[in-house]
Amino acid sequence: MISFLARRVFQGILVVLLVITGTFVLEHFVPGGPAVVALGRRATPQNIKIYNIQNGLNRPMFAQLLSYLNAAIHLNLGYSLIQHAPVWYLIKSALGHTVMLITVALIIQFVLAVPLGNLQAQRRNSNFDYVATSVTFILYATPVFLIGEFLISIFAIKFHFFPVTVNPAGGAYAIFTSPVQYVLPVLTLSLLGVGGLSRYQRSSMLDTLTQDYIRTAKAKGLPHRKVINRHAIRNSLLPMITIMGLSLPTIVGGALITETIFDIPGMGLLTLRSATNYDMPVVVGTTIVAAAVTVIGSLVADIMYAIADPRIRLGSGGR
Amino acid sequence: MSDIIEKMAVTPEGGESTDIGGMFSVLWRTFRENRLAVVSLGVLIFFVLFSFVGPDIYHTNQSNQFTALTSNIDGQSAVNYPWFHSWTAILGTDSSGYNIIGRLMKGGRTALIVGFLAGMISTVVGSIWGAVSGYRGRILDTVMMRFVDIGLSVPGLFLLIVIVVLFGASSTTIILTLGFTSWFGSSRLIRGETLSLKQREFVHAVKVLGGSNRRIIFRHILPNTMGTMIVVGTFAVADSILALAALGFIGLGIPLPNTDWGDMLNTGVTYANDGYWWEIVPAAICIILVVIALNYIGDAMRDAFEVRLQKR
Repeated sequence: MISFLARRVFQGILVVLLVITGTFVLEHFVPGGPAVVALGRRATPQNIKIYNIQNGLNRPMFAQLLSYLNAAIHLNLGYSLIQHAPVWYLIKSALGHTVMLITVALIIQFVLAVPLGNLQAQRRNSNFDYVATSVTFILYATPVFLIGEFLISIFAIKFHFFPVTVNPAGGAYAIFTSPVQYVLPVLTLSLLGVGGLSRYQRSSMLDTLTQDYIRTAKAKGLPHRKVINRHAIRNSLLPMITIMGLSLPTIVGGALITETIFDIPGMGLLTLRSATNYDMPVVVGTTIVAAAVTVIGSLVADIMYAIADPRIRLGSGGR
Repeated sequence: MSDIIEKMAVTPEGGESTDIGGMFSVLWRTFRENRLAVVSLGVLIFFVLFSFVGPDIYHTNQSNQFTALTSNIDGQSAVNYPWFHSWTAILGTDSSGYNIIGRLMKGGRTALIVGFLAGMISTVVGSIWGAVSGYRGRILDTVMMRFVDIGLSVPGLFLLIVIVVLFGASSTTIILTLGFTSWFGSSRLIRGETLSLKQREFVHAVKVLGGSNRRIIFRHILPNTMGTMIVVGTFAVADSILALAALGFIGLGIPLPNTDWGDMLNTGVTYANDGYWWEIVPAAICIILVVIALNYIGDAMRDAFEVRLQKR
């Protein structure tokens, strides 16, 4: 287990380093190079030249890459062109909102999708299964911003159950202190994944139900409810942890849109506002941090999998 | 009874061998079993005709902003004109005075072209990457697959935004970016298939005959993964259409004077809560229908390429 975790942590660090290398390469493909990224698109040739000399951009590529990596690891991500603040300072105040939103949405998504998938598997090819399949297919094909807009127009504008947008002054933990305003954003973000996740849960449950140990449990006379709850559900949940880990990039992207719709001052809104102003250092910075958050998230998923699965927890090192 | 005996007499030992038709007729026979997929194919063909032939039949002004803003429908201003009120603009007009049906055609053209091209780039890159990685194996395989892991762990939307911001939004950048950032998943599938294909006799035979690696990969392995490629490609087109809609919605989509369905939603949403539903509902329905249709077609194709399910 320890060696399995050590290997995964090492892989995670490598992925983050390579993502930073990726943005480094991208910046060099921009006409004018990293100087234009840092100074903005209206930088004069003189300014670019001065910037290049001051920041060592005339050195060999590899030396530049090393100092770029070094700066990024120390969270030295440059200065915002529009907001006149260090990029990390902006990200730091936004990060909490996004992480909280995603965490709560993932939990709700799990709570919605798993029972749905289970019921579908147990009543396979019934009318309920067909209806649920169609609904999940439509959910899967609906862009997340449409889900959000429809929820707003029904529950916020027509019935006034919830506010249209979130009060941005609330701070990162507002999702727990004043949850009512976060109902629609969380629902929007969780519905994004429910379609896919419940399909996986359905097929995972179908697989589990054909296993020998289920037949054994039935044969020894266990009541149906116990067979399902004790034996089938717990085993069918294992792949879900992996699936949710793999779906993290989609959720992080969905959070960007959700934050835009509901005015939550998280990473997504920061990215988008910077993007529309061509504030390139901020966009590059948020991309790096978003990738790091995703990598940490999938690491957590792997650790949870290792804890849940005795074959890895007690085995000699896992996969 | 007698005809059974007669039949047995002529039937060769391995069973009657008849012409089962070419690859496409075999595929079509399994495909048409799936009613939903046939309907989906119809929906897709409808949207292709609607977007590409439609504008030639149903003429609307989609480029002159001045004419659009100042024109009248039945004596009323043609800006935000409601749906189902007049035959000249059945689905109404948007906030710039453009006819919604004509707008849908123009947006559909962009969505389908971008979706198809990006999906194709994604499939081709992913297939070649997967086949090379799987076939060469060893250290190259490890390196190439770690690269895929990285691609899969970066949130695609952030990557899209960063590239659009750094290099500017144009149809070309968007197509290339969508294509080159979405192939990671498909390369894994093709690699998996390659791993089993490269153990087969026909590959060994080419190797013994002195065929180069490139010949084996491009002439023998990739054509045999055609089924997976087409299925993966169908889903890639659907995903690209959704991603383009998302880009359009956040305002980084196809630049003016062009439009796409996501862009229509972006401008329409401002007015939807005033009750101007015709400015987003039609575009939303178009996106959802096309994406669902592509997904059902992809599912049916997967079955059609599954030899065990094929009707012979």
